Amino acid sequence: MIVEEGDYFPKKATEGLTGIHFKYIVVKGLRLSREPKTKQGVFMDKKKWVTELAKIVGVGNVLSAREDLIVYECDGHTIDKAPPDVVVFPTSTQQVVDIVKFAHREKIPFIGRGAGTGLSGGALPLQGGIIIEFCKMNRILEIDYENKRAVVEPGVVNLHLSEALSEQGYYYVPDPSSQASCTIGGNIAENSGGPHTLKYGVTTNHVLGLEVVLPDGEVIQVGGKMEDPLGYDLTGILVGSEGTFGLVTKAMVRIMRKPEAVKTLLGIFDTVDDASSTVSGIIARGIIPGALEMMDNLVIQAVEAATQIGYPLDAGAVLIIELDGFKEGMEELADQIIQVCKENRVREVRVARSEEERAIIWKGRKGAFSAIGRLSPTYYTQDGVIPRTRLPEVLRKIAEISQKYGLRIPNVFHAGDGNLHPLILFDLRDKKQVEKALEAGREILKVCVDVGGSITGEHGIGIEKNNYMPWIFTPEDLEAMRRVKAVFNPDNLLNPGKVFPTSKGCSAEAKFYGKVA
Amino acid sequence: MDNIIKELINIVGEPHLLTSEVDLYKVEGRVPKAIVFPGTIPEVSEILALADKEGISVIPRGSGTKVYLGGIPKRVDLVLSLTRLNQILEYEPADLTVMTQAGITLADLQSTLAQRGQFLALDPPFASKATIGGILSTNSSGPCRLLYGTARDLVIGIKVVHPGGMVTKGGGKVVKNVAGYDMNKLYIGALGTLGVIVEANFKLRPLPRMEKTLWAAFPSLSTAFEAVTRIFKSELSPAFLELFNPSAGTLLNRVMKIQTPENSFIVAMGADEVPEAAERQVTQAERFCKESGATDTLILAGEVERKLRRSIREFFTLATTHTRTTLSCKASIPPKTVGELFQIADKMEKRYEVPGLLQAHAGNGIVYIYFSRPETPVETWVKIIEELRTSAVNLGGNLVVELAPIDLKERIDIWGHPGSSFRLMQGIKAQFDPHNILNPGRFVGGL
Repeated sequence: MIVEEGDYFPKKATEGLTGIHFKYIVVKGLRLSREPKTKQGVFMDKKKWVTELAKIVGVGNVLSAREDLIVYECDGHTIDKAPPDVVVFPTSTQQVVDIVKFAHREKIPFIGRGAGTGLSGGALPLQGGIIIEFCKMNRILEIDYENKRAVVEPGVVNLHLSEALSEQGYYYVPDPSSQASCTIGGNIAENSGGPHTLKYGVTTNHVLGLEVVLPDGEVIQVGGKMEDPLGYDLTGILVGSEGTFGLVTKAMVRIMRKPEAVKTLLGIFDTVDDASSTVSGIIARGIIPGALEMMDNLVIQAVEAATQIGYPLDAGAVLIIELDGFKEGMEELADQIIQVCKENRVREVRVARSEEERAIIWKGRKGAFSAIGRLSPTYYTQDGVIPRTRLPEVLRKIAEISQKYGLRIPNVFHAGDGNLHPLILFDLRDKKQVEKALEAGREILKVCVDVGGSITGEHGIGIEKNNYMPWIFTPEDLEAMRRVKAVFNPDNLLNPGKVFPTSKGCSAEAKFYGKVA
Repeated sequence: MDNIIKELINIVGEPHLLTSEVDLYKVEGRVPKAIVFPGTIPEVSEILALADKEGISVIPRGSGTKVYLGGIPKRVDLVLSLTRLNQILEYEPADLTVMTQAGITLADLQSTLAQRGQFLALDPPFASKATIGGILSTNSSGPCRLLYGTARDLVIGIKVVHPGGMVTKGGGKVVKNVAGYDMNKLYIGALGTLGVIVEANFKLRPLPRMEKTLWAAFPSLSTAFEAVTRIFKSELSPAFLELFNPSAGTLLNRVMKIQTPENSFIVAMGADEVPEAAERQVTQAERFCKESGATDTLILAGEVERKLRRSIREFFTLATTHTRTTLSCKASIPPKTVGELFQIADKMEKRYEVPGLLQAHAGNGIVYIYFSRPETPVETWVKIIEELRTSAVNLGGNLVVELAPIDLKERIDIWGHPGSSFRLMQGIKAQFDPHNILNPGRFVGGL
């Protein structure tokens, strides 16, 4: 546990800042330099960097003052931190090319960043260097209703695209919970999901083509407005490559007509088991709802405290079930779902009768993560996936893990596709609790893997779970992935240190414990 | 080669190696020296280790239904048949997932799934014979890709054996998974040039409760395409949306014994839904068609509807058995340009006197073109392909030559150029198959 605090910033900068977002943690051995340093250790005057980069993007689009960089030392995964040396805000593909060529020539590590809402540290500049921040490349370049396609820059906020399409009755389907702030570029890097991906698929199912700046500055086009491009499916391998293959500067995405009818039901259950069996029961009846979300008692309490929308505080679990599609036949499907709920001892089913009532039901779910803040200043979000049928068993095991470590673990998750989000509550100021939280998270993921699941459904591996990769992939599987990475990013200057395990055979604990104390 | 055959026998056993009747397995006229039928993944691995060491070219094969696809292979030494790897390994209906070996036919898989009211939402041609491995390697798809997507949307995990024998997997068994790079995508449609697919995991769907199809005849391309556009842009969510030119429509009418006016363009739209919603879809689409100028419309359900779906799905076989198809191409273009490509193909049909059948998965922008008249000189075919490809590229897409005589294939680029990303494709190929033993020369850019 070799940790020093506040080594990088003058005391003054961090004074008065409390909570995990501002806590500064330095790890020895992790590169956090006072002076910019190239990968080979050749020092270059940071002023010169700034001058060079300012020539490309303009003085106003470069940040290098220490206080300005604090915001960029982590993303939504706040346990690990490392500040960049410089942040640049390009406004065109050409500027990105010039920045990348500069970084490539000078052998400076660099990394792309959208809104920084990622939950696995994908936008963390592990070796310092340059953050290429895409928030100023946020234009919707083309909306092509005739082909049901849109062309956007990477910094376009997910929800803004759907808003722009709304008037014509269209939307962009993938809707991560952070959709009001996260960017399409970030979604592509992480292959983001969301509640409505159960029926319509995740980001990769909605991206048709990309313009990408490779780590040597070359610009390539993959895919396009057509569906079946020639050769290997590079669009497919780029989506979800966690920003380690190239920087997306343009994306061609599918847009869809909004469903004409939506029916939202809220099922209130005494136990998580009953709610889980309901999920399986609905799927077994051959019904695939647009969304199928679960929240357990702890989440219900937090949400209720925050929003007073009327969830019973003693309920074991609530299910949000949303049907979408044609109005014809929807009543009957809803009746069948209510029937399944009843078969599983539902206490009450509420059906939204207006858009307002629907919004209220969803308000609880969408606000769940922030409501949890009322229970605990800090929490560690897990993202394991399990086969749907194993839900009751796995949720019981999570409860056991919660008891074992004495940490509360509320669950709010995409029940329909078995994608869990246990939120491990802990206090960052308590070293023992941090250790326990990490250990509990690890144990939960192990449970997911043991029942045939995965360690991440939509948040990505990043630096959070890279050392768990050997649980689900053999050395050969990882070797195949390395080979592909070597083609795109041979010098490993782009987003180094992500996805792949850093220690052979050694578990993740060492890394985690070394970083946080 | 004799020594190598001995080693192959050591790996799979005498009964599973064929050195006679190898003619049946030829690829573009090139006859392999042996066919090997491994029964386990370790055997596949040993075979690919041996082949890589000895520099023997390997042609992976399922049922051989799409063996016509691709360029002329530089070498054909060994055909690696996956047909013995034909087991369903895990099937959990409540999870809507299945894990299967690559050599199973889609038909066999579907019949198991149907017993539990489920299906794999892929409807490629050659339904009764095509294998999972072949379908994935050729990224074969059918009309219902409009609603359900293609293999890239349905595969959740894949196991591959690479040259040298390395066995790797991508993805996993759960329906949502972003752990590691999405390797599945790389192998789908790679024509077996990066590795041999030996297993795949899919997400499944419940069987639709009702299937209906609207069949509409139009006096002109413009009226038919107007109907297509209205359906495509509407709130309807069809399972398929097909457009046929008059010769293709006439052929289908004949097979289906449907009476529609001669020389009609045909639009067919399927609805997979609960009964009320299916009815609503075909009824509304029928109204769109009538308003756009359809002369005849027909709503089909039940046995005749199933037969029509089969005919649409198996249109390749229909076209090649009822006409002397010499050249078939697949264009992938933006959906709104499908009408334009129909016009272009029609002009070429007249200019070069090559009768043409046209089928489009119109909502996906996929157009299949079947030209016949074998006595046409090769030079003319070359010109036709060049013009068609230029048109498809100008429309924002591409054109792949599928079925063509060998002397024509020798003269042309089957695939067309993939553009600025080709360097990366070469890099990936070099990483996985450095000695170029898998299907050498058959894939894009000679990969």
